[in-house]
Amino acid sequence: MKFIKWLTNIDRRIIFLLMIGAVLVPMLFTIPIPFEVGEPVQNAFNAIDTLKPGSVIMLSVDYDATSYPECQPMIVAITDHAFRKDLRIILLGHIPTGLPLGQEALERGAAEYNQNHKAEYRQAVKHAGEELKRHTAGYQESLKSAAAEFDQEYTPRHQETLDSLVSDYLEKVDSAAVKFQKHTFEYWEAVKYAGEGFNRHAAEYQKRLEGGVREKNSGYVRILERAAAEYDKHVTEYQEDLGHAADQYLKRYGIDFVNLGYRPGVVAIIVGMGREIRDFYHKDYQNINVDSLHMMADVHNYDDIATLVSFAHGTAVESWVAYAGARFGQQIIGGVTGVVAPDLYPYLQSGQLAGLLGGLKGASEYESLIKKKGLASRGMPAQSTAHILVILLIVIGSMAEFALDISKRRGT
Amino acid sequence: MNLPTILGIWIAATLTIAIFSFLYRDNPLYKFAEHLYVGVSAAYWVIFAAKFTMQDMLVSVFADNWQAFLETGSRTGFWEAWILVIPTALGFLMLTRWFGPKVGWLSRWPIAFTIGLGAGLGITGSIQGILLPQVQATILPLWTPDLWVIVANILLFVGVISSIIYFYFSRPHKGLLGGVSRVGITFIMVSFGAAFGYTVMSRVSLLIGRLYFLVYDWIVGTVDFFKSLL
Repeated sequence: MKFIKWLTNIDRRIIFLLMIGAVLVPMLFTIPIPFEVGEPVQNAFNAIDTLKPGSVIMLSVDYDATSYPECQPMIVAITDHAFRKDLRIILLGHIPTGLPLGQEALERGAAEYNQNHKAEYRQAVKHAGEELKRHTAGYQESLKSAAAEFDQEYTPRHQETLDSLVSDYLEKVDSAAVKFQKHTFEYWEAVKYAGEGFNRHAAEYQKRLEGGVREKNSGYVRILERAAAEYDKHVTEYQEDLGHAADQYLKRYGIDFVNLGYRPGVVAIIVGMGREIRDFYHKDYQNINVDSLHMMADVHNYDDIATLVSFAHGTAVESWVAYAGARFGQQIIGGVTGVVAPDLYPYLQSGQLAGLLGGLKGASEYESLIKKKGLASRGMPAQSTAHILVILLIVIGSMAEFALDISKRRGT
Repeated sequence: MNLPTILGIWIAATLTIAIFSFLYRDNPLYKFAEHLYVGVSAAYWVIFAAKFTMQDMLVSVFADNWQAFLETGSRTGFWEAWILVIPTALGFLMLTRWFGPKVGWLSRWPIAFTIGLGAGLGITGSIQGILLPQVQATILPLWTPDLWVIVANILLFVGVISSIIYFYFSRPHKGLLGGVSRVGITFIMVSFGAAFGYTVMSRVSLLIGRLYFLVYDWIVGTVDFFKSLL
């Protein structure tokens, strides 16, 4: 009887220790526990998976560090999925302390994507460089033949200068590619800077070359100018090839994703964005003018946003549903903590939510759909053992109470 | 992993353990971590308010529009710059409550403005965005070829009607009203059970997140860091 009494009043610290053990054991020794993907998560996945490449999705960070274990795996998984599908992402948030978590997910997602496509990108850059070299060799050949034709002196110095200009430019581009793998915005700044430097030096070189030659033989200069124009064309083609390679194999800030930052006034902003996003977000979180961000050129309001995903630990999803969904017909997906999820099921049933990810389980289901084992999938075995422990404790406690009650009635 | 990252992880791990120490009993280490969290969060909010509200939505917008007016003579720029005086003034009026009841009543104007705006938006949003679509989603056919759909729709219908009747307090819950409201409370209890289950899952997830951090980021990360130094 003493033991049964003890069972009804176990010291809470023992329960805490049991709970820590129930979580740690499956975490340290991987225990595979199967689970099925529910319809709400499958619908969320389908809503994103069926979007056309280039479509824009808006991710709203409406949680902060207190919900990191539940919401962060969701935003990481959806970002990963969106990048794979070549969707463009707009990030914003209504909780300032949570916004850096969204930025972290985007940066990691982009870096991972760029890392995975590094080989293809390098190959494309190398190919573009080889093409440029092939064409510039032709340029040098035509210079040589012009010099021979008009008996001008084409010194090795001229060729060396051209060669060094081209190789210097290529080196700068390559070093920028290596240095800024994770920061593609800076990479493009560096490429632009190298390109500007190259053009400046090339122009000066041509000026110097012309100065001595033009007076002596105008025919030679014409050929020289034609060759220079050809050369410019090839450099432009090279830069375009680099651009295509980057479009295909890199995810870059301003082109594939942007972070608009935080603005106060949740409902007013949700309603106002139905007219024009720039009314509230005319600059992004880095203070860059939104109009100067390439991907925002054709994005003005909800008509330009295919799907909106709100990651929330409060009532933000309901606000999106009530205003963006009802008033502007915006398709909405919820990615919420377990505490919030039951409140959102009515919106699923009414079709106001296109899909729902609830808690760690929802995140792990999404990870299984995109075939990527992330934080949520690694945590799910621990979640299951912890639930088994809770059920056991409830059953044992209830049975002990029941036994005590019976013994009291019997007077023992 | 570099030194600043590992230092950050150590600070985070120490604070996590300090917070967990409350599970044993209240102690100064827990109090320190708690106060630090409140202080850092408040500072973070202040910086965000200064940057994203004061700077981006007031100072910067005023400067841009005023610049546009000076450069192009744009009347829109002029008005869009000076209309910001109104929210600024309302903001300052909020501060009048610091100076006692003689001028403190002025703070009611911005409060009235906020309540008016919130109520206007809230009422339309609630009716258009929640009430009507939810009512519409409840009006479902009770007879379809699919047996499970019939069962689900009847359950939904009975659940909604009986739960609403449970919250009807103008008559005593006796007789038929009492019976239906008892069915309603059963549905409400089931929903509480589901919510509680989800809450347990949510709280366990938070524990998993922190323990995962302690095991892999802190312990394994530190070991890897020292291995990389050797």
